[in-house]
Amino acid sequence: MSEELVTLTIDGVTVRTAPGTLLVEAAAQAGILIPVYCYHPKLAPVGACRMCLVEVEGAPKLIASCTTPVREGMVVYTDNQRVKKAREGILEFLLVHHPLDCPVCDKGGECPLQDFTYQFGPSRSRFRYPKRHWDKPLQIGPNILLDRERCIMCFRCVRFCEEISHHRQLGVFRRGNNQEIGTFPGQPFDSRFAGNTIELCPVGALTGAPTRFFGRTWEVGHTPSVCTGCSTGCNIRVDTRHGSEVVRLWSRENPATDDGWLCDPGRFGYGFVNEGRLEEPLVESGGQSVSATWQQAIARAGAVLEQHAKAGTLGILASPRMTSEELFSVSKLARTVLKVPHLDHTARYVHPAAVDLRAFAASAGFTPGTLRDIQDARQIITIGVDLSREQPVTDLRVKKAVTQRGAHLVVVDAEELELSAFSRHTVLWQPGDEAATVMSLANAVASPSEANGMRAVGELLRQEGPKVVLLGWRIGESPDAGRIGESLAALAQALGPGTRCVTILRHCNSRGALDLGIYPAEDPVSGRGMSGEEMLRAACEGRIRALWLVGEEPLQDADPGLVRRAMDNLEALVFQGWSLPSWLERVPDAALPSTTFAEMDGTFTNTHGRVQRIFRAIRPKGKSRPGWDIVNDLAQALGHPFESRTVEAVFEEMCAATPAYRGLAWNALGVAGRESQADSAAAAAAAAQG
Amino acid sequence: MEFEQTRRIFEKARERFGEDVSLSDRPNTEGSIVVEPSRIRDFTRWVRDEADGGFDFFGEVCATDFLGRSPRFDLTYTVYSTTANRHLHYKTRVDDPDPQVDSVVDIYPGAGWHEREIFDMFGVRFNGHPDLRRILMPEHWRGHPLRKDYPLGGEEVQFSSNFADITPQTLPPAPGEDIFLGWDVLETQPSSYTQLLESGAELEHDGEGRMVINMGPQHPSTHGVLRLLLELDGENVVKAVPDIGFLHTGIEKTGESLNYQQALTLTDRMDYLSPMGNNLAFSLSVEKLIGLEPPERATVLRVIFAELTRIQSHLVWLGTHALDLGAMSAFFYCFRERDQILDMFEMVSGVRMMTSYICPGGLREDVTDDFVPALERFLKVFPDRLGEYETLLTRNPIWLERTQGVGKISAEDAVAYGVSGASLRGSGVRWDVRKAEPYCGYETYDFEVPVGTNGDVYDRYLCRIEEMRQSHRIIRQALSRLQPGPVQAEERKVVPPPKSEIGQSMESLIHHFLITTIGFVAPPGEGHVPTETGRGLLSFYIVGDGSPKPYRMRARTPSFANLQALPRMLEGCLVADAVATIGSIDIVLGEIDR
Repeated sequence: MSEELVTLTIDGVTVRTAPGTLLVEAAAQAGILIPVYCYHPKLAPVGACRMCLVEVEGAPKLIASCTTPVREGMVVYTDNQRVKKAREGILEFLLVHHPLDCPVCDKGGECPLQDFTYQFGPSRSRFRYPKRHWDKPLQIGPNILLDRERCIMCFRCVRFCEEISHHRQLGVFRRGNNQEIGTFPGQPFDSRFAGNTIELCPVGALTGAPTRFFGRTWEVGHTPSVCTGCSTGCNIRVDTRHGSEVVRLWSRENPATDDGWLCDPGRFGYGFVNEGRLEEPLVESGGQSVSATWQQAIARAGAVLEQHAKAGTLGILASPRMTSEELFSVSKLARTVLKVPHLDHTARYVHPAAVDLRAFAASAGFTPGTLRDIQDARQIITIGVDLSREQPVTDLRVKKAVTQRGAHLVVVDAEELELSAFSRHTVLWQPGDEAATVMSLANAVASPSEANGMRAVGELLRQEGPKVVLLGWRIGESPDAGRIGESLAALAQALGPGTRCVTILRHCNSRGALDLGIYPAEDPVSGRGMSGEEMLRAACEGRIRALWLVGEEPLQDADPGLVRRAMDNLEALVFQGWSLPSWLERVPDAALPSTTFAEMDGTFTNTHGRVQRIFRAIRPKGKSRPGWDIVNDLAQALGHPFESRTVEAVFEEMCAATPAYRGLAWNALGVAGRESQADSAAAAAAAAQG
Repeated sequence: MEFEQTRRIFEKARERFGEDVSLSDRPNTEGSIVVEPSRIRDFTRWVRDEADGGFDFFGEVCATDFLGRSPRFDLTYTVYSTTANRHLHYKTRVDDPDPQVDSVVDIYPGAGWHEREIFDMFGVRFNGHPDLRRILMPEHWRGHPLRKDYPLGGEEVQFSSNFADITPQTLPPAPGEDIFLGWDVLETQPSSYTQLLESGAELEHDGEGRMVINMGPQHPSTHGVLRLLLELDGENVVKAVPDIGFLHTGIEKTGESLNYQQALTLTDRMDYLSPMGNNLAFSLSVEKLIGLEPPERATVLRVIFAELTRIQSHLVWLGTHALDLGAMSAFFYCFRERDQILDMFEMVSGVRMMTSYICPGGLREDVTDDFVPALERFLKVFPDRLGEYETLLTRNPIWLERTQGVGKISAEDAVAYGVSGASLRGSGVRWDVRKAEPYCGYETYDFEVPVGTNGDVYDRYLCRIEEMRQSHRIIRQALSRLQPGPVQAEERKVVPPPKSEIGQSMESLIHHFLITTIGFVAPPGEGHVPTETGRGLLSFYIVGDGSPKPYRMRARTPSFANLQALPRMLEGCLVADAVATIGSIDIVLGEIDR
């Protein structure tokens, strides 16, 4: 910061701050609260609500502190009679048409309109006429309800749609007393970021349809956690009632992962915690599932695992939505007790070389990067990943880099994506042609002469500046994925050293599953294990006769016909998870209920390797228990009891055994998490090579 | 006491103690003098003997944990002058780890139990204290509950039976983490009475002819769950050691988790015979913290209810006290009139005992139409009824035999132990907070403060009888002043708007909503107003931090201090006299143990 700081006085306090800082921000730095409605640190200022009026010496009128940058020597009063009177007046205007809804409004208790009225507003009404009435609530989108009477016209929602999500679905209609927020005729507000407007809304005008009447704010408990929707690892706050039910997820800003936003699939995707749960252990008896005690179910499961492990006919599929501690326990049981090599976390066909996408990228010569690198990048290249669908919140980051800082985006994929609208170039590949396309791109960047139709994109990517490559798992599905390694190496070479690469994995703990070795690896004793898809095929052929399913996700994306055939052919099935999958027609020999993220402590590792804590928010449903605890019991039943009896001990053991996690400490993770070591080590290695 | 007076005393202290004293002037308070911990004994002695004529009466010492500040703990001493009618706060500050300060027990004997309570609840050690043990929590308890880093709820109760099981998981973190776990109390086994005797009660066994008996905690004449260890020589009491805490419910801790209106309801449950008196003391302190003045009608009604409460409390005392000594009939007479008063409480608040009727800002609601006629009916009959009680007892030879010359305490001792109320005035000290430091306009009422001469059970009896008569006088005067008007202050940021408005006005709805659900916000500062309840000096010391909840809600309760003087009164008595003496100091264990 070589810039000179500006000195000004706010309420007699001398504040030194960077030029360009807005008055309202400078006041906040000095610990002085200026009430605001339309101002939001992530949105461009508009000065619409007039709540933040302050007096500046020399200015004839009160001015809006949210649109006024600081000036040297400014003398500002935020609390004198004139300002107080203005605030009272503004609040009185805002309340004129505000409906008497507090007792039934979701916002009541956490509402800035209430809070500022109590702190700064009048305590009596002078308005004696009927209030304006409108139909309400309007369902303007699948997740959003609009109550126009409550709206105070701060435009935060409209500005969010214009500036942040770039889904321009909300607008301001009519003028004056009849002014309203609304959608365009016939167009629903179905943006996948719509839920953020609920949080932005300073009153209860926009409320979430799924979370409507979730409870009163003061009887809701808050627990920090991590979203399990995708691998971004957005930080969330889990809101609970009675310690037994999740009623709402709220954003919890962490610049390293989410930048303060959530997507709707994540925000509203908590239903599986409350409903349809497997609440007690089940065992098979006479072709039926009957409830059992934990001892019975563990004994049954242990017997199945032991028998088939000895016979070499056991396969283990673990869900990448389990916590790292659970996955570590499963892996430990598989490798040290059962000695089974067939262990995977996904049933999708992936080329063996590309199984571990992050290693794949590192071997190509990219420097491992983080999601945060996107915001400093000059050039952003996405390869084989549709961020808008797979990692919506990262999509917002890319949009922000492009629109606010003018970063250049190049999309490489099989079809035009939503992000293509923001890209300078979209490079399309034909299915089967992925490697060749990436290779031509690399050539175009490396030498202008070879630019066969990619001259412009090559020129663009040759420009100086930090570069980030976002690499999607779909390239690993390509039939010629074997050759894509060399194409990527060529691209890394062409883009130059220091090009960062973030591999975009699919599930919330896919990265953890990779770090912990939940994939078929070459084993010196038992040979190469089978991948998920290979296990299913082997099951059809009778080579795998028992499966231990830990969670349901591994099979979610697999070919349903293959899954059905495999299940029918199996001799035995042990299921462990929070609900029996709907597609599972077969009666499992033992079903072990495990807890969801809301009911336990643990860690997830996000797509770029940030290890983040989840905290127990509610009591476990029924008799469900954390997966690591269940595995502990299985180990005990198999005669090899594990020593780690608490989640913290499992974590410490995991960190000691996993190079990527070395040096992490349970208590030091805090609520924001820590980066794992793999990236920094790999970066050091790459730097040494370069 | 005005801030100016504190400043004057401070200036004198400056001459004497130099830089070791400073003036703390937190907003809304009368200010206090802050003393270096090393000079606390010198300063206390100077305050008692010299400062502005001397402060002879020890009110209390209480602690506040400002977690995160250094020094961490404030110890606030409050002393009164029974002659000059004023009080003074002075503070000293001690810090982690191992907070300690010199005891002032030899200067003010009344500090003994207060210091033990701080040791128990905050883990502050008082050097030179002759008997520094836990007082409210059991001996084996781990942690100091009123510290801010002690959990507010959810943790398992540490009974001696489950102590070993819950230790690792549910107790506060281990030493060196956050919570200081106390001295060597962990080594102490749950107290049996013999261990209690050995550990600090200074009782000696000389083998021959002496025995130690338990009186209570299940004894009917201990008026609650009080346990007295009596060492007897034949039938004579050699020593008595009260053991309290059986009824400890963590009211001060709970108060910190509730907003001001909710915390008010805890005060009812503290001294359950004096709910309105407790409501009043709490409300006055909160109002002082906020700087709020209730309207005239509310103040007059507050006086009426405070005096009615005093009468009904005295009636329970008289009935049970006489019952203890074998006089059955008085009980029925007393409860007849008490019921009349409880009926009136029910009329205005809907509840006979836990009224929560007097609240910060005024009264919960105005009195009902049938209240004044009912009150008049009561006032009409009460003087005669009072005569009936006196006929039964005052010149009854058995009563005289049982009460005269029994349980004596001298005026000097009573003052030094911080005994207040009729128990103090029975010894001839004419000190009543209503006269000494009037609140609610008591200075404008015409009433006498009766005093005794001998300081025995009989004089305390006479004082209370006369007090009922004086209360009757006060209510008559108050009733004549009662004018129509609002009963709640017109401060919308504290007192919720009337219900009728919230269907019309958004402003009113928001204020009503927030004050009801979250609570009104009190500014940072301190509020403390001494009051006189049926049992004596009751004051709440409220520390506000700008939130809707009290940061600290300390209750200085009269029974706690009065009971402390009981061993003194019992020395040389017969066992049967112990019953008479306990009855005569009119304790309520609910407010002793809180």
